[in-house]
Amino acid sequence: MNRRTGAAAFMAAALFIASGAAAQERPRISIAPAEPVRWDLAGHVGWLGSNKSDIGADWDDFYNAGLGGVSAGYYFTPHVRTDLRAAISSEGRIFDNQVVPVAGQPFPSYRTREHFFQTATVGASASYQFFENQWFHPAVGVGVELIRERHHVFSPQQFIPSRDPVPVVIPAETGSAEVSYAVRPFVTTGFKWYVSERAFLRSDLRSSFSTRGVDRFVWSAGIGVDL
Amino acid sequence: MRTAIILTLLLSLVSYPALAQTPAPAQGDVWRVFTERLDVGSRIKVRMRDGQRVTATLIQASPDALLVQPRTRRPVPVQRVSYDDIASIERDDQRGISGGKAVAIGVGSGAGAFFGILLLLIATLD
Repeated sequence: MNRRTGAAAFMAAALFIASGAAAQERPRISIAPAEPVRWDLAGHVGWLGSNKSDIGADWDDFYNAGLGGVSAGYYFTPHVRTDLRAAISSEGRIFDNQVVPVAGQPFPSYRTREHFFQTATVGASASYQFFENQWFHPAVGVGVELIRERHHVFSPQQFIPSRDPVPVVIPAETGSAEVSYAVRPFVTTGFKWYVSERAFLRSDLRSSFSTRGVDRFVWSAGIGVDL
Repeated sequence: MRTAIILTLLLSLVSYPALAQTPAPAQGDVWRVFTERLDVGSRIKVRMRDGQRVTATLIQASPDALLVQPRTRRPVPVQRVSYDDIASIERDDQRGISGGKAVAIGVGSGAGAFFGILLLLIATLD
């Protein structure tokens, strides 16, 4: 290594060290608390809307249900967190029509059926939380949820008028419950609004997707605490 | 008389560029002088040269650095800030929540609660 090459290497090393030092001396006012929060726990209630366009009639292809659950979050950094959430819904209902052929009748008759759904979900999400160590933190995130859905059908007794003096009577019928599982991606947005150093109110909207488009829509609100 | 007027004009022509060439004070000195005139405990908004913005309470304006307490949810230590690293400082006279914000929060919370209850009712009725 001649003198010129050595000088160039020295300059390069000096610049590298200087740039590193400059980067480390970059002025910032730290707003991170001495002991950063890692975990939070929350409980929530909410509303669930679920797309059942594959089953329901055009005029009733979404069911509504109440929802309740718990969540636990872990902060990787002050802004990046993951959230595990479990929730269970009340029973929702949609109606559809079933075509019933009646002997001797030239036109079809319809029978109304009620579909009952009840879901339990477990989901994991990764979200970005805006601001640090403030009272109000909006957040956006994405995730995936496993949905267990219990579905059963009830067909009430129905009288179908006919040309005979005695109407056709179709007795009530209760179908057996079916349980199905599905995995759905979702996007979410919401906020944490602190009411003390560690206790907070939270609310969020979550929408999951399937081949039907928007599959489920959940609004929830709850209270929680940083651990 | 005419001589006096000419002399005055000449003097003004000579002195004007001299005044214009007076160097502006260093930015750090500006903020030092500014903060020295603020009351201790004042609420200020500080913008750093790297773009960071912090609302803080003024603790002390010493000759070489500014001591501030950032206003955060969980308390953080008093911070020492070099005047040269400051891009701007302004007093934040807003104490607590303004009337407009209070109204907005109230209306927002009320509307949110209303729609929340409405949705729960819809869910129950279905």
